[in-house]
Amino acid sequence: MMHNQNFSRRDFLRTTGAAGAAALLGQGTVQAVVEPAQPLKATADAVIVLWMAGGQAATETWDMKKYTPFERGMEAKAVYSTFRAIPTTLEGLRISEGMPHIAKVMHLGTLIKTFKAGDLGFILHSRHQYHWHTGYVPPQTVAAPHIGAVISRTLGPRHPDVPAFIDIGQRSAGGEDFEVKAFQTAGFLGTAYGPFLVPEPAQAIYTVQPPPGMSRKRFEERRQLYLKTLQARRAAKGLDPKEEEFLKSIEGAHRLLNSPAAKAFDLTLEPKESYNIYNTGRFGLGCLLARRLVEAGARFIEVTTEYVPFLGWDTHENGHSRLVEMMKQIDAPIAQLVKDLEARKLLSRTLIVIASEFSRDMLTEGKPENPVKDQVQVPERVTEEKFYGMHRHFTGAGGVVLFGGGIKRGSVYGETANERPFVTTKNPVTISNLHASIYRTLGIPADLSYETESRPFYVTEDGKGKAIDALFG
Amino acid sequence: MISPRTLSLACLGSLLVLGAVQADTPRKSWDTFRASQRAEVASLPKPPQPPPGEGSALDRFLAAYWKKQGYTPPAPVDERTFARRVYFDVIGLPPTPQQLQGFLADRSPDKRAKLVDRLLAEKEAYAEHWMTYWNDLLRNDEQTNIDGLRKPVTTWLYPALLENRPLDQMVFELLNPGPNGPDGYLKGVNWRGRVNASQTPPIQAAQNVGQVFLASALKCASCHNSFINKRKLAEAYGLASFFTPQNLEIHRCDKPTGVKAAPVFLFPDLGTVDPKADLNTRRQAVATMVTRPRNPRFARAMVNRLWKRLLGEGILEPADDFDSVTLESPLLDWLAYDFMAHDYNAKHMLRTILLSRIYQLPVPPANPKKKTPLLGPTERRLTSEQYLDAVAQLTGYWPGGPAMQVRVANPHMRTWRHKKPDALTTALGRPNREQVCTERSQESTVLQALELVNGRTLAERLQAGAKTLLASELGRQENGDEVARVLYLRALGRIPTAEEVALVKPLLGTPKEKNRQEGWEDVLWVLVNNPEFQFVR
Repeated sequence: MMHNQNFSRRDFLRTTGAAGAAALLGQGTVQAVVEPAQPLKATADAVIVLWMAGGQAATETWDMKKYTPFERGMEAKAVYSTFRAIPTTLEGLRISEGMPHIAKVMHLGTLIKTFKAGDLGFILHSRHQYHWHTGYVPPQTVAAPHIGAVISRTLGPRHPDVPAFIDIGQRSAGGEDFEVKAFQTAGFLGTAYGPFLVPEPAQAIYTVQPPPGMSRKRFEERRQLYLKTLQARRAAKGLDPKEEEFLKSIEGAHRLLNSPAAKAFDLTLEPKESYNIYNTGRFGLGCLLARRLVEAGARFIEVTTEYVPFLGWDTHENGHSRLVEMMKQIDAPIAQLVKDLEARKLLSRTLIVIASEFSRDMLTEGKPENPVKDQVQVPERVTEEKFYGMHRHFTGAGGVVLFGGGIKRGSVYGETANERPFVTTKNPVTISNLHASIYRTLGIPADLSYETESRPFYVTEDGKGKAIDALFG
Repeated sequence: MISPRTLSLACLGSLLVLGAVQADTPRKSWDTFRASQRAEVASLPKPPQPPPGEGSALDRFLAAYWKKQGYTPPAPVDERTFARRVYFDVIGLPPTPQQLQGFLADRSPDKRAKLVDRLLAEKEAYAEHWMTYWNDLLRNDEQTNIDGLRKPVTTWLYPALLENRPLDQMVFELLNPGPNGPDGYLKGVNWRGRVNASQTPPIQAAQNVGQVFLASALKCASCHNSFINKRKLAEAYGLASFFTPQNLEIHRCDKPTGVKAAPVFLFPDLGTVDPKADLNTRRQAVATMVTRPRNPRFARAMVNRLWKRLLGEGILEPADDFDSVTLESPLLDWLAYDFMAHDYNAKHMLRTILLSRIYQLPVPPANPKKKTPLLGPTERRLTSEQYLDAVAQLTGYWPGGPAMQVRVANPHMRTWRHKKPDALTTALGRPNREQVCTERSQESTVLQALELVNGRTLAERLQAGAKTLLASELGRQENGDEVARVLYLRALGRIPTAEEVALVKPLLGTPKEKNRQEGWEDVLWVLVNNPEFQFVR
């Protein structure tokens, strides 16, 4: 059951119905049609979250501080940014030299410098990731749904043949696999609401093709055989409602696999030139897949750089050299994704969110006012290059970049200190308010709730998230 | 009718006797425990007696109820349907054609009882199947253990089910594990770092004990006075205080109130404990109060759970929260008393239900408008574990798995059940067990169907399965009709129609032909996705 005074279930049925019909008619994207007493006008139809898994250091990427080149034996506290800042197409904003392509699209987006991750005590990546993705801190009494599942449940698919919630790029999270799976789920909303998992973007086509080694012809013959074997019994006494529901699901899967929309999963259909720009590895191809899926009618997509403890953005040492590689991975594909959507006139109705569970710093673990137990040894002097970089987990301020979907073009929100600790000095952003802002682009109120175990569960914690007006154009 | 109101305070004396029992104490102490439990049962008022009539007490209660509803139950299901039901319910596997044939050929009038008894006696198969249910209830998983904050109870649970340990003893051990018992249960689910006051390990213990063993939903009341039942914040903290050495400060919505809680049981007239008592004394006290016969909730909640597992809906619903309903059920009271009188023997209760008339009725036609409860079993989707076991039994291909913490009798068989969830098992409803799961999802969804239609895991199992079958005696069988007959019998427990044989025979081919692999794979796929395969009816 869904509760919100301004937002009835009927409105949603109408929304979904309209979307489905329009899609059948071959029209383009469809706006959410919600007409509550005080309308929340949707400014986006689709969301792409680009997940910087493992804790992306803001001061090395989006929120540059003084450049301090490596000198053997330099004091750790003297290390600010280990990358130079370069100008961007947004006047006055400089970002890391590691992202020259993204620097050229910043005029299309809004940079939030002041995302303050939750104070969860001891750092545990998967726990902060759970918090970011559900808005709730685990453990929880009920299985909290991923933001993508909430959107899938609330708005339904944008195109009937494209799963509403698609999660790209996460394979196993090794030692924290159970924990990652705990939020990579629709939770109590039920498995109908996703996620549709595409762990290997390069092999995405296999997720919507007959099993390996099976031709389309054989696949169709198998389906025909299946239906024929059921026909006799269906004709004789009919299937009961549960059996019919099951059969409908099997037919639904076949329809999806055979639909023209499934071609979006086939990256080999992408022109070579474009494919090459995106192909910086798994994440880059994930961005390409996301673009194709949004064009085909996806509702919510997450592409992750993939969380594996101590890999990716989770830099406990060699922070500088590792980030050179990480930025190479994300720079061209993200910039191209923004440009492609803009060129296709989809950016204005597609929200892109670049985010991470928290930032990193050389010295502070947690927040200055709320330090937590150190997990990384940082020597007082940087005697070797492997100590040069941001290795502690910092929750005092972090970067979030938003493009499209009704968000201001060319804007910076929030301010941080230029001297250590690099904390938020103006306009902090909590996960509840960030979620409320994302939901608002889709026309979903922050105090919408779904009932589980006889009580309401709100889409932002306790329904108290407040969308940040200043982000909207 | 047993109710907390009718209890006298005289029962407090037995607390002292039970106080000597520890979970890791030798058999003699459990004998003392049993003697004390029996004595207390004997002191209870007798339950309501069933109306006169034919059949078991259970049948007579329901016959009277049906008469009142103007309902004339249809004839029991045929023997094939019955066999498929009890095999899945007791050992989690469908009958093999030989087993089915043996049952059909049996001419004795008590053949159904004999079958149920034989299945209940299959200790390993029973334990392997019921592990799933108990893992869900206890949220036990062999998962990542970060900083020692979680601990599986698998090595305790499997032997307990293997020997059919009495449920009162099992729960007593869970709540008072001692140094060598299943202490992972009370550790709870912890992530590193600060935790909301309503999710500390003692509060988790109160919520889970309340929900699972006492049918009292306390999640709401762990934060503030409940608005879904009558439970108060102080009551949730009162129960939680048994699981911690310090008296907890009551937090309302994560804010301290300055008020200290003391250990007070949900049904205070079942006993008390000194607010200064140490942790062991507290745990012993709560273990006693939960499991003692004078606590009417425990036996009723557990009997209702077993009933629900077999029939799809509980005698009382919601099965997780009797506090929110004011329903009375002489049937449940009678069964609960019978359960206690049989030393909380789960297999005794399963047997009682499996041989009841209602269990043997056909699934009543769906009638969403006016839902009258207890007219027959509901149709149940196989759990992901039952489903994949049934696939393996059909083909003879049992995928290996990583070694689990306990050695099972057939290590090649069902160890995969203890692996962490994958895309297929998750889609089929295997929970990740961060929370208690008392009921698996029954829904059919497209995302789930995608796993069945083109998912790699199932495709690989069917490939290996077809290969295994082709290499077996069946693969050398020249008569295609016979091959189809065996496959249908194994998969669906029935002989195929002539039409079905005609449809699958061309794909099965004959041993002289090469490249039969694909045809057999496709026939297997058609069988394991037949709704008859997916559901227990």
